[in-house]
Amino acid sequence: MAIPMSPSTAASSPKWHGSRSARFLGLLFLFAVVASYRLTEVKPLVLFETEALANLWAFARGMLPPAHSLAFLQTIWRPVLETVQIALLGTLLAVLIGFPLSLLASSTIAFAGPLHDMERRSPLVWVGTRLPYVLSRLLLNVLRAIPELVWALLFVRALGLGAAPGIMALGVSYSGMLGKVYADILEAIDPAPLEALQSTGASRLQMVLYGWLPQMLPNFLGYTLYRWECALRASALMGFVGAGGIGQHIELSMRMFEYHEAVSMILIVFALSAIVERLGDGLRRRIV
Amino acid sequence: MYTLKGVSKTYANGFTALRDLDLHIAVGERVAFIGSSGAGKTTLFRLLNCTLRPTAGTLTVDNVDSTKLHGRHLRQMRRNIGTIYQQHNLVPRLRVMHNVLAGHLGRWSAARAFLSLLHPLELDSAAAALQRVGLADRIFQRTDQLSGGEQQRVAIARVLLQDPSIILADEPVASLDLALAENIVRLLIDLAEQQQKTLLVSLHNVRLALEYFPRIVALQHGRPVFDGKPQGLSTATMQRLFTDTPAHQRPEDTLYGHSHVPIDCRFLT
Repeated sequence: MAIPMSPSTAASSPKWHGSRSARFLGLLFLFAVVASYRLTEVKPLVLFETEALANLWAFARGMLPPAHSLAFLQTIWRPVLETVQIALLGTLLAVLIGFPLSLLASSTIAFAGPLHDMERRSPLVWVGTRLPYVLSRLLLNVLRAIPELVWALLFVRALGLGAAPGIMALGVSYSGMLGKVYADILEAIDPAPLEALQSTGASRLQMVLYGWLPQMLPNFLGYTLYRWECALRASALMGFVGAGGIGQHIELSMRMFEYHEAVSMILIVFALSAIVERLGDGLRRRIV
Repeated sequence: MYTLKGVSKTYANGFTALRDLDLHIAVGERVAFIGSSGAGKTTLFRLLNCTLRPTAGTLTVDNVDSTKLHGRHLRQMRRNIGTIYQQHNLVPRLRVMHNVLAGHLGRWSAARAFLSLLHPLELDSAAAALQRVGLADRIFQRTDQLSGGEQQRVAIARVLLQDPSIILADEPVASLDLALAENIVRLLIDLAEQQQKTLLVSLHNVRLALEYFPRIVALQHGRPVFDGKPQGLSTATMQRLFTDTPAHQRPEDTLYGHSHVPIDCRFLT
């Protein structure tokens, strides 16, 4: 039996017209995609023209078999090791710069929330607690905004060729990412244990040691290890601008059309990042 | 000990948890605070342990105005007031010994606190406190491996180390079963009596309050509606207390504006 519905109830039922801002943003996005496509003159079909296919074929044939002679391996084992060292030291430097900054850049440690309800309320205190926060956030943004390859170019100019500029470039650019994420992790921490610590008469620094840090540890480690993985891939690129590692040799082989050498080195980088990822996963599982 | 005159507390979101509260508590008293959730008990305890400041009125502890204290003096005042919370007040990832030793933080320097995390200092004191609450064998375990009741006893051990002259316990047994709850309340009373400490407890369980405490303060909508001996509390007052209070606005929900969802940091850059 059908339920009788009078016209009046049908008219009064609410109608969803969609959200205006969502429609506007959707159109904007569509416009951006089309405009980018036109402006950058992308021609995907070029890839399937005979000349391009021939080039691709030559490249693929050149890759096989990957170089594996003893002489070749002897020349690249040092740059491979250097790549790993750049990643490790770069990440370490990034932690050393980013972590202290994150403590300053965490609003809940500095001034925000009920943990600060009893603080003295004077303009001087207001400025004194917010200024380090604003400045450190600003610094982290700047460090992060400049890509690591640009940093690498800068440091190669300043320090000359080699691993040192690579380490500096990774350390500086990754400190911006690490510091920001650490600060966000610190801000998201459960405040209940912090409140209890505060009620024992603990100072802010003691609360950081006993409350903030132990609670942030799993996320801290997880993200740092993930960044180490990224650093390994990035340090393989550093050589392209002269900042040490395997990249220099990959670039050279590519330019000399020695594709079979390039592919071996790319496979080595691939294997290395797989190893680092497994290592990181293992560590994470043990700590968390 | 405590003198409150016209104390009110309004949170940043506009919720008024306490209105115009007058209260006097003498040294060594044992007082139970009752009332349904949202009545203002938790807020009151946060004012009493000097972690929140009243928005109006004065609160004095030992004739010292709590709002006039800052820095080191404020921390000294807090050190003298031990608080046991309903739950989640321990750091789950730290070992039991560090959570207990945190009771020393008011006395320790930051350097000493840091060293103790690397290698525990004054471990005997923590062992003795855990012995008293019956958890001597748990000292090296991670805190999140303990049950709710055990964690509450760890919190009591921490307060034992802190050795304050006032003990505040905000719903210390709300998340425990009845037998365990009575156990914990007895433990608190024994400790307070042995060392002549002032003991203020907020309780959901009215029977426990009436049975163990010589003075009852009942709160409703942030105001005291009864203050006296348990015998004076009529059934009519009781019924009024636990009806018509909106339970949706718990102070726990209003105090912290944001939720604490663990971040999966892999998706952040």
